[in-house]
Amino acid sequence: MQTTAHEQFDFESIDFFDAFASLYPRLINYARRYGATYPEDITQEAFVILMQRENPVEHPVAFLYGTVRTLSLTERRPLKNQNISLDAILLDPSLAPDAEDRLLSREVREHMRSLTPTFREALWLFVVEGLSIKEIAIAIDIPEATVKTRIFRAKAQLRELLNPTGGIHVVA
Amino acid sequence: MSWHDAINITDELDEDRTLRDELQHMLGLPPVKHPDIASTPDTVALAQSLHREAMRRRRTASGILPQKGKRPFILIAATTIPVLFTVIALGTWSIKLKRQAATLAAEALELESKTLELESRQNRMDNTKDGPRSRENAPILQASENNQAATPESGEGKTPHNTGELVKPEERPSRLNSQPDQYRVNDRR
Repeated sequence: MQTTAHEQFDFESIDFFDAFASLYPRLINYARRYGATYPEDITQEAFVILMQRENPVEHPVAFLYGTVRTLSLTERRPLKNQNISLDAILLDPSLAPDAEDRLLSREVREHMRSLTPTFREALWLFVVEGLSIKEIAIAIDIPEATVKTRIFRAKAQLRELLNPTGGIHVVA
Repeated sequence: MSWHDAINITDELDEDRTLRDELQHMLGLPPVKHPDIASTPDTVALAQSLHREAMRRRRTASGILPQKGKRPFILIAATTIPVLFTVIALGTWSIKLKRQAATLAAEALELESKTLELESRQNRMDNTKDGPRSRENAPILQASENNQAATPESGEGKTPHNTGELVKPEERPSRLNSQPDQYRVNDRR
C-alpha cells in the first residue's frame, strides 16, 4: 500500500503523544547500543530535528532511527542550550532495560555478538526493532537491496553458528 | 498517514514478513509487537517542550523572530541613523568646500588675467615713454663719445671718465664775438 508521501504529521495530537511514549524508550535503547553517553539527549534531539523539518518526512520512524544512529556515532552533545532537563521524564525502568539481554537467550545473544557488525545491525533493526526493509534502508542510508543482502547473510551466519555441522538434530 | 500507521508497518511485503518470522523463530524470539504505551503527563510535557524547541529553531532558521526579536531592528536603526547623518553632513561639507574652491580658482584666474593686462599696459606705456627720450639723447651720447675720442689721454684738460657726466657740445660762436671760447657744461644731474 502506497501512502501519501510527504504528508505532514501532527505533532500535537494524542496520536503523536502515544507514538512518542512508545518510540522514546526504544530509541534510547537504540542509542545505548551505539555506546552513546547521553542516549536521552540524543533521542530528544532526534525528535526536535524531526519536528523542526519544514518538509515532511515520509517515514518518520526510520528518520528517527537514522538520526539517533548518526548522533550516537558522532558522539554529539545535543540540547546543550536548552532548558530541558535530562531527568524531565522518569520512565518505568522496566520499559528501558537492555533490550537485547532481556529478549534473547544467552546462547542466541552470544551468536548475535559473533555476527559481523553490519549484518548484526540490519538483523537487529529487522527482527527486534521491527522496521521494514525500506525503513532500515532509510535509517542506515543504504539501498534496500543491500539491506536485504545483509539480512540474508546474517541469517546464513546464524544458521551456521546454531547448527555448525549442518546435520539434523536428533532427539534422544 | 497517522502516527499509529507510521509505527506499525502496514505496507510490508509478504516475503519480508515471512523472512522476519523465520529469523524470529531461529533466534527464539516472540513475534515483534511493541507494547502500546499510553502517553503520560510527563511524556506529553516532554513531547510538547520538544515541539516548542523545534518551532523556535524553525523560526530562528527562517529569520522570523518573535516579539523579542524586534529589538535588534531598533538597535540597528539607532546605530545606523547617526552614521547616516554623519555621512550626509560630511557630504554636504565636502560639496560646499568644492564650490568654494571653484569660486576661489575662478577669482584667481580673473586676478591673474587682470595682472597680465596691467603688466602689458605698463610695458606699452614704458615703451611709449622711452622712445622719444632715446631719440632726444642720441646726439648727446654721440657727442660724448666724440669728445672722449678727441681728448688726449694725458693732459690737464682730461675729462674724467667715471664722472658720468654728459657734455653737450655747443656750437662754436663765431669769431666775430672776439670773446674767448666758452664751453657750456650742462650738468644734468
